[in-house]
Amino acid sequence: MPNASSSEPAAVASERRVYTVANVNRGLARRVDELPALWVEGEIGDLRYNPKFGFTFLTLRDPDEGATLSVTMARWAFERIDPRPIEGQRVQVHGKVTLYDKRAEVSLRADRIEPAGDGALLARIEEARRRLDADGLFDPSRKRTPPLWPRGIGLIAGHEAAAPLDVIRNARARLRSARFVLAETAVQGDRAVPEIMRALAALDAREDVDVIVIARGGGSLEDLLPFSDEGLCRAIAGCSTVVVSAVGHERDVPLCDLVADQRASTPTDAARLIVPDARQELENVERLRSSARRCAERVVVRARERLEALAARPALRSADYWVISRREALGRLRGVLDGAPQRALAARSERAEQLVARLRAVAPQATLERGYAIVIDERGHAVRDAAAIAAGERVDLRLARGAAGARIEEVRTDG
Amino acid sequence: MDEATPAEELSFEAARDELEQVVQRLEDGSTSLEEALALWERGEALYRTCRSRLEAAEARIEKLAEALAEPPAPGGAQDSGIGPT
Repeated sequence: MPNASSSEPAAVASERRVYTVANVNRGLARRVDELPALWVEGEIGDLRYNPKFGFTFLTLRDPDEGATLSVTMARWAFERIDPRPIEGQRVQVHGKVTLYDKRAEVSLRADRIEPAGDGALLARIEEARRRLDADGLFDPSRKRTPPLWPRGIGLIAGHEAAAPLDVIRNARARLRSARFVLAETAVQGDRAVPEIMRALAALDAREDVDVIVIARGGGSLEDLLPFSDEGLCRAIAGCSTVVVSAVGHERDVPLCDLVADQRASTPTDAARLIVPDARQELENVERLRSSARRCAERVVVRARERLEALAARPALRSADYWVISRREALGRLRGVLDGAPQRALAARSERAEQLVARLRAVAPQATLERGYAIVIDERGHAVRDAAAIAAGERVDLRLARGAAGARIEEVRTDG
Repeated sequence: MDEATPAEELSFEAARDELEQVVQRLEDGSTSLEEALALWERGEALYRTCRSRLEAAEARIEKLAEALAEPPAPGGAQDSGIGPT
């Protein structure tokens, strides 16, 4: 600044360009206004929101260097931000730098405030999620179950990564013959989305791939960002092959998890979804086979028992059963017949004996005791009249005790 | 159930499902002796098919031959709406 007490001529002093404060401020304001709108990131400090005021004020602070910038925002615009920004939150602010010409105060006139860091990513993912949901791509009825026995399993994973190896190992533990078609792609960064989409298309086109698994281990929100890419999700939804998403850990839910047919939170889980447990299936099949055998055996045993029961019946036991039984019957009849005459004879002699006994019973024993005898002729009749017998006839003399046989010598009819 | 298909040509699922049906028919108990024996024979054949599938040897891993590591088309990643900050 020229010294007021210098000896320079007045002409020099009249050439000095002097501005008013207002001029300077307005000039500054104009220059500042030429700057385009921009995004600035920082932490919110000194947030002053009052529903009675038309404007909301806050300070944006650079956490690394401590520089600050004032921010103003129309109150109605600030109120529309959901969720409401809070003190200390890291945000990105969009707006134009302005200079308030009355006091040469610079501030950023904000039209948008968005969460920065993870918050920003989450917000964008949320936007994509809403769009996909609105198109019905999360609908449970769209989900398909993988085939029990895939001919080939498509696997999309990073180069030399642990996740795909774990899936393969676990699947092979369940089914030794599991066949994999491996597509190696980038699984984070810029190239992930286009490479994964290309792999998806290639595997989907193959006839021999019956299920596709996208496998990636855990990572930060930013690492897993490609798996929430809207384009990739739509490609997954459009796959004709069943897709299993095995991305991240249990707590990570990238959008591809929601749009895929099935979601696996671990490699073991993925293996369970894509191949059968051979050991379990073998047990089942063994059981079925035993049942089949037992049932068939029962039928055979029952048939045999019935057959043997029939065979045991006398009618079938021997070839000449009928002959033998007839013969036996015949024999019995014969026996009856053969015994008949003897029986008849036995019966008659029995009668004769009975008669004699009766005769004896009625014979006058006392008379015989006195020495009389009964004379019985050849015809068995007792003789009372001498005229009934002739000389030379044999007669039987019954005495009181014993008997004698005699021959008649002479007959005298006088008495 | 198509009994004309030779058991060894069936897929694992088909063979196992048919085996279940065979067992069911046998368990019904209403089969004649001939039927029971025929069913049992078929069951054994199906069982052998299932077993051989389950015990098949380890298959190789095929690597997809397509060149997947081409650089993305310009603007391709950004179009989808999500990109790194």
